[in-house]
Amino acid sequence: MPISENIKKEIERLAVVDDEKKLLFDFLTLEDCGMHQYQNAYQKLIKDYLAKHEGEADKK
Amino acid sequence: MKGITIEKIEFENFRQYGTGSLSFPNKNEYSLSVIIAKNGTGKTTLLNAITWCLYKTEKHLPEGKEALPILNADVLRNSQPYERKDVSVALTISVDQKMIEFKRIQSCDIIKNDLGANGIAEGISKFTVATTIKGGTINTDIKEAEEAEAIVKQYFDEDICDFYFFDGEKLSEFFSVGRADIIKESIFNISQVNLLERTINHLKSLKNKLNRGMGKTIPDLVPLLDKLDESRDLLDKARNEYNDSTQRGDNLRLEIQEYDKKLRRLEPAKGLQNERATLEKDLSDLTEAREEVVRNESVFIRHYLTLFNLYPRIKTTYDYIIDKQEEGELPPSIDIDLVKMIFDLHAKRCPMCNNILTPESFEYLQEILEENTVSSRVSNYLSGIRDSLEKFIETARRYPEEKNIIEEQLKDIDSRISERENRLKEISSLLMGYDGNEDNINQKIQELERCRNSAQKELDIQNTRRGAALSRKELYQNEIDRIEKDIESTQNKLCVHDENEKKVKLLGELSSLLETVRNNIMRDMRMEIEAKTWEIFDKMIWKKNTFGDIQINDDYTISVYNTDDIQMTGSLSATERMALAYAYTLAIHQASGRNCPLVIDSPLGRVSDDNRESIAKVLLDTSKEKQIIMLFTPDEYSSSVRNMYDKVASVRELSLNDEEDYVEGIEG
Repeated sequence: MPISENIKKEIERLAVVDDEKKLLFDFLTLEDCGMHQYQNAYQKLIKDYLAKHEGEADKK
Repeated sequence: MKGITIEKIEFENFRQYGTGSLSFPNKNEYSLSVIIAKNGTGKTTLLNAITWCLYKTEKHLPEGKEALPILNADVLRNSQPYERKDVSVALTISVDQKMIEFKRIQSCDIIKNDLGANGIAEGISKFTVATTIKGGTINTDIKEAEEAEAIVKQYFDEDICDFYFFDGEKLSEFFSVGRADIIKESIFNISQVNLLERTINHLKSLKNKLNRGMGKTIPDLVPLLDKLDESRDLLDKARNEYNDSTQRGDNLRLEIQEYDKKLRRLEPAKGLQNERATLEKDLSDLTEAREEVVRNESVFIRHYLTLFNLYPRIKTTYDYIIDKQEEGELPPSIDIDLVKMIFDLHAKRCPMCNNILTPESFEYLQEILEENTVSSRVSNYLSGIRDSLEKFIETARRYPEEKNIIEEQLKDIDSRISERENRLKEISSLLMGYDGNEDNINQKIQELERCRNSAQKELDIQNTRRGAALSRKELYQNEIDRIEKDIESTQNKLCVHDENEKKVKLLGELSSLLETVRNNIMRDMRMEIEAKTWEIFDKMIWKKNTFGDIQINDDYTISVYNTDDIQMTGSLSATERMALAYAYTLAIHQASGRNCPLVIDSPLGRVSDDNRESIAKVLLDTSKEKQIIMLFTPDEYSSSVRNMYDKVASVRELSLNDEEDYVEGIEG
């Protein structure tokens, strides 16, 4: 089932960068597909996200 | 925006639908399909075809009844033993740019049953979901088994299928005990709050795993992490106990429903026993009455026997008197004593008119006296017995009539006796059908009532246990939230900038963001459902000055208030409860953001005339937003509904063929 419009709206309203919103959608999509081995998939998404935003946390 | 739309349903050898298809085209901006069919034609079977296709179960079969085989009766009758026949139902939906076909095939082996008739043994079953992207190159992806089931869950989750495919006549059960939990769970499913919950838990769980790894290098974290583990264990225990008591409660509810079902089944037996007692009493009264009539008949026969023996003589004598009278041979009656008195007193005047009697008058009187001395006595005597003879003759004439009355009485009593004897035989055979030994029925009822009460007590215990576990669950969850915050602040203080710390920080942020999303959705959802329910209910109900407000409580129970703010949920009529159930269901659909179709059997079945039109109007308006398929009986599709729907809906009438094996009115 596609992520509901209500959830989409709520995530869009969050005061975070678009990539973080996309990351949230990615997690929800993974869950919605009934991912059993979620940890590896989650770790990969986190790792990719951090790699893309390397240095930003330090700047903050 | 029509969301998910059922395009067509295809059947192969499925019950009375046989082989063919039903499509649901849109005529205009309304996505409304109306199917009209008499009871027993296949309305509910259509609903069952959908649930069988998606979940392999026909959810709307009558309770406690053995259903006919799923294979079409005509195909079954004309098949040879050991032949194999396939039954299938395929449901095609369109959503976004996709066409998805859900198809279930069940192979059936033909066997001979104990009575020598054809039966089936179900063989291999296969379920597939084929997804085709609309437009461009045709690219069909076919899934089977678990993957196919997962797609069903995405679109028509079985746990909440009561919200998509339901029987309007059963909507009044919508608010029965224990339903609020199911509704709440369903709402969380529909609105994907459960999806958010799972994601949050997985994010937190991953965060804790990483924390544990970090705890080895950050000693301050160790006690906090230990405490977190402890609280998590306690939470798990409380959760398990909650789940366990919920599960037990659900099982007990099912058990109680099963007892109720059995008791309901035995209720007619109790009625039959009472009817039998009444009939037996009637029969004994009638037998007594019959004996009385037979006794009267004997008296009657004896009476008439004597009369008929004497009848020829009576009739002859009577006829003789009448003849004599008619011929004037019977002289008139003369007062001989008066004439004698005139002579004896040597009276000179008439005692009647006081005129002086002439010698001629004396002479005439003398003649009268001589002629009538004997004849007047005979005349008086004959006149006396003529009346009695007349009575006998009259009685004899009434014989056929009186005989007929007695015969009619006997006939009537005999027919009533035979009627009762036949019904008693029928009752005996019906009672034998319940148990084989009707004397055990009362015992069985008592036993079932005892078991039901004991299950009810156990259910009360489980409900208390569940409530306590829920409080503990909330307590430990709060404790965990607090510890997690402490861990986060400890980490911040330590300013560890390794990769894991970044991950942990990000995971914490993400789970907290999703918690915000979840809480907002839960709050908005409840408020939206509350507002929509009120809006729809208000449109559906003709009374405008009675209802003041509707509140959806935290546990998703619903309260209706009157205009004086006094709760009146328990005082709603059956139609009002049905309207409330519709309003709640439609509100949940609207608020969920998931636009699924509605298939409703007997949508206005129990709606009284006052509200019929307004409920029909709301459903019509709803069909602008989502597809609605309604299955009506001809009576239910009354003229007011017809006037509203015929212009805009795709209307189809279904009937059975002469042999009643196939539904007519479907395609192919």
